[in-house]
Amino acid sequence: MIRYSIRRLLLLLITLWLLTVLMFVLHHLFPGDTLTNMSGIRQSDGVAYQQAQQHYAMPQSWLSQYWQFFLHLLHGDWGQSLVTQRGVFADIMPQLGATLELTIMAMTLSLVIGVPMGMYAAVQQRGPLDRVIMGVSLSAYSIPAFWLAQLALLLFAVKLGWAPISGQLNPLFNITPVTGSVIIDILLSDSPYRGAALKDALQHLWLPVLVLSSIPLTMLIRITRNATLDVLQQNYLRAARSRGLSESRIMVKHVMPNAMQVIVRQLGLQFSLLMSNIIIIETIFNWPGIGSSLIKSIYERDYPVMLGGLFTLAALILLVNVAVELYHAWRYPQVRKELYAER
Amino acid sequence: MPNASIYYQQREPSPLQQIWLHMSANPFALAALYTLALLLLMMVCSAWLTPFSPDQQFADSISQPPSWHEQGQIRFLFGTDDLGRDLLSRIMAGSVYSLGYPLLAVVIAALIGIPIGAWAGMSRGVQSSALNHFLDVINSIPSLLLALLVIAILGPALQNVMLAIVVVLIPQFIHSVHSAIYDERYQDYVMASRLNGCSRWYILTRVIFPNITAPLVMQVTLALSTAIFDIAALGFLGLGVQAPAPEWGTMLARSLEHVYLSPWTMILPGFALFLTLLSINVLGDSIRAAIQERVRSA
Amino acid sequence: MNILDIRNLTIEIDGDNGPIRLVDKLSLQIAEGEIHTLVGESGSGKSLLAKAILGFINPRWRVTADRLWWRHYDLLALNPEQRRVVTGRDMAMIFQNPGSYLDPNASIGAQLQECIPSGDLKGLYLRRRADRKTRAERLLHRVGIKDHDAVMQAYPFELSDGVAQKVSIAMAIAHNPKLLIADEPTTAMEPQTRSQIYRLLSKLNASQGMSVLMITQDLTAIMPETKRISMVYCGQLMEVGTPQQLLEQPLHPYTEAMLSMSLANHNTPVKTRLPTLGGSIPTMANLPIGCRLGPRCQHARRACIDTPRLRKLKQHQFACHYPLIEVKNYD
Repeated sequence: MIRYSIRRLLLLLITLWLLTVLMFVLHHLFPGDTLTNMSGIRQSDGVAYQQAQQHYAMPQSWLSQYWQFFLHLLHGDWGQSLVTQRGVFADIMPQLGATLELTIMAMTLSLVIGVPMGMYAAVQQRGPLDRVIMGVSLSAYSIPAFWLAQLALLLFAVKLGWAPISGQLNPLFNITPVTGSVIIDILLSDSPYRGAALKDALQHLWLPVLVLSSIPLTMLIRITRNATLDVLQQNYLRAARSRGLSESRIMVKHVMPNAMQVIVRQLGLQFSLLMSNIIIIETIFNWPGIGSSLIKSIYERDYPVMLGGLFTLAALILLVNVAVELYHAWRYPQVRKELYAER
Repeated sequence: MPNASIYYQQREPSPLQQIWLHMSANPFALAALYTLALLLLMMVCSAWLTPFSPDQQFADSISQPPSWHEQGQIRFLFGTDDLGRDLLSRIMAGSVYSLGYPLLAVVIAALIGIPIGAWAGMSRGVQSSALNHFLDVINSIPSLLLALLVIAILGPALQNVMLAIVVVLIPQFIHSVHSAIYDERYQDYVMASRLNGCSRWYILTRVIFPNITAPLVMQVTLALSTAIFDIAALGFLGLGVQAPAPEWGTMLARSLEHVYLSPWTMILPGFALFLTLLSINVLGDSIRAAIQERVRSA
Repeated sequence: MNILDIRNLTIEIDGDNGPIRLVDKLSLQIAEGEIHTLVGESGSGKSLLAKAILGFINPRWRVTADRLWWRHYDLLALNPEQRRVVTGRDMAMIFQNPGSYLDPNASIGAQLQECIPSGDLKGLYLRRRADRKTRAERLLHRVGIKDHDAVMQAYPFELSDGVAQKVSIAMAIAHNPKLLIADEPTTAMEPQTRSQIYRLLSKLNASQGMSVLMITQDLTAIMPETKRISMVYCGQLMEVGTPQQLLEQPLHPYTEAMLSMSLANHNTPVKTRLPTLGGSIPTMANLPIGCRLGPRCQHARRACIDTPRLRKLKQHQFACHYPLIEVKNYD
């Protein structure tokens, strides 16, 4: 296990390093001045531009340029926005918090609902409820996220008025974003209206979370159902039945852990899917997260912000994937045999 | 049914026939297949079928509701948008952008990706394992993010979107072909033909390839659904096909402003997108189920 | 006294051309403490029979029987839940590839402890846990595994086939079953391991009076303690008798063919053809009518298109119109 973990973490480091190389190359590929793209300082800013030229070792070879760029990146100096002239890194961290808040809630929701529903569908295989669950999940999976968000807005926000149309919190509450996650920010603040603010935040939160969780939810239902059906046909389940164990014990002790193995393996992929949907959802709901700022920066050709956002998202996805893989290998020992086996 | 021939011998259908048999037993799969065929037909003939030109503006009937609405006109079956353009014509013409171009992108990506994947799957050693990890990494990054990156470099335009989608799909094809071959090439039957002295080319094309057609078909449907979604999403974000073109995602983005006044401009193109994605996903899903069924009954 | 009594058990599935009888009117009686061996080639329905006894019934099968009694329970009259309680308490089964019958995600210790009936344990929570563990260790000792700690902590993929089979026997005997069904437990094993498993089973049979229904393909590699043998071909019962009766004077052509085919006891002269049964096992879709051995039997005549009745000659039963020796006083 230790050998495997080290190998995996090393690979993660190499991949992250390759990502920085890619970023460096992209700075050169993007239209406009490379140094401006990197630091966010325009050529018209005479003195600052010359200073930046020295900092980034601009006149020297590519290698030392990269080295300086890499050092800046490590120190959290990701340049400044071309539009707002604010530091990219300082801006991205609260955005990351806002994005993570949505993501974690959506993922949790889909796990909590999706896994039991999938298992239930599998047990009732070919029953009426199984067909309903599978039909609904396949249709819901095919609904493009942006259309679903629009439909939900039209229904819940415009027609029914159950939720505000966009944003994270009513600005009247005047909560300063620290972590970016509204709920944590409200709890951290000493505003006298914390209770009301929390209620308002939840009202803003539930619709995007629901829409965002639709894709992983439907996928998880399908994955769980298929995994459970597969497990239900295994020999060891027959053996467990022949020993006279009760059906509920078999479900909890034997079916669940084995089905979960397949589900856990898929979680990384689900997270990636969620990340591509969150870009769209954040834009529609005007959520101040990385996704919406990324899209905005593409419109505005604000390259330092754009690359900062891309790097953060990509690194987040890689980190989550590696974490899932490590957990998978730790929890399910027989997987490790496959990993070590030389074919 | 009694069998007429006395020396009746049961013939096992070939794997592909078996998959087809399993699939045609599923009414939803057939419905999806026919829907997709109709959509493709509509796409090919859209230039002749559209009642009006998709860009023609009728100043006298702006934001006309669809024909089943009280104020609707039969002239505009699906109503008109805020500039007085016929929605039906726009949706039909839009299928070229939202179904035709993704299809083209998938074909190009398959033509490039499959041979590379086959080469990668047949290679071995360090080269193979490095490639494997590299592909895993690329595959874990969502396709939309990669497409956004390409658009950010090149700027939004139809040909750039196509390039972005092809670039995004190629690694997916490489990955799926690579892993399909990787799973098969250590099977005993491949070992047997290796011992028979078959060349690697023969093993790849005649021994392994027939056994990975099913995962390949599945990958194509998956890629198609990804391509359609990504092109529509880019259009929706205003980074894809540019405004006057009747691309479904672009139409959806445009409808965002007056969805309260004319919700049909949002619902109908979205529904077209949904129907297309649904039929492709149902098809892919039933192919997967049929493959599983075949493996299970074998 | 027979603890298991099966009369005319039939299992059918729907084929393309009407129902297919996978098991055709099979009868089987097992006495208390008896080792009974069921011999048949692959596809003869012997594993189906075992599954039908235990109640692992695929919904596509139609299982009918004139009688399917386990001691004084009529198994066909019980509902699945009751049936599982009865079979779970009194019967146990071990299988051909034991590895796949162990949960891959649970340690051997956990699975073994799960099998120990909680009614046998004494004391409060912690006591019971400790008791459970020592009982599991004792079970492993009983099946001849000395290194219990390593095996208890291992996962199924870490065990060799022989050890996995011993573990599954340990799990099977955890609640002292009256009948152990062993479905080709040693087919894929080396002779050395096979002898160990056989010795273990016969020891359990002798010390606890546990009946064993041994299912195997090879008539010449049966357990030495076998009391009676049943020969099955294509779902039909061919011959039943003691090993002595069958090996010395088989009455059914199938048994004779099986004996002459085995390399162990043939004494054919050099450069002659090895005796085999002509033809091959028919596929499920093309089963012959009447005696299913008919097309491959050298003694087959016209009468063989009717299924022969099971006839009896001093505890030696056979189902053939033309037995190998002249039989007069049968009923």
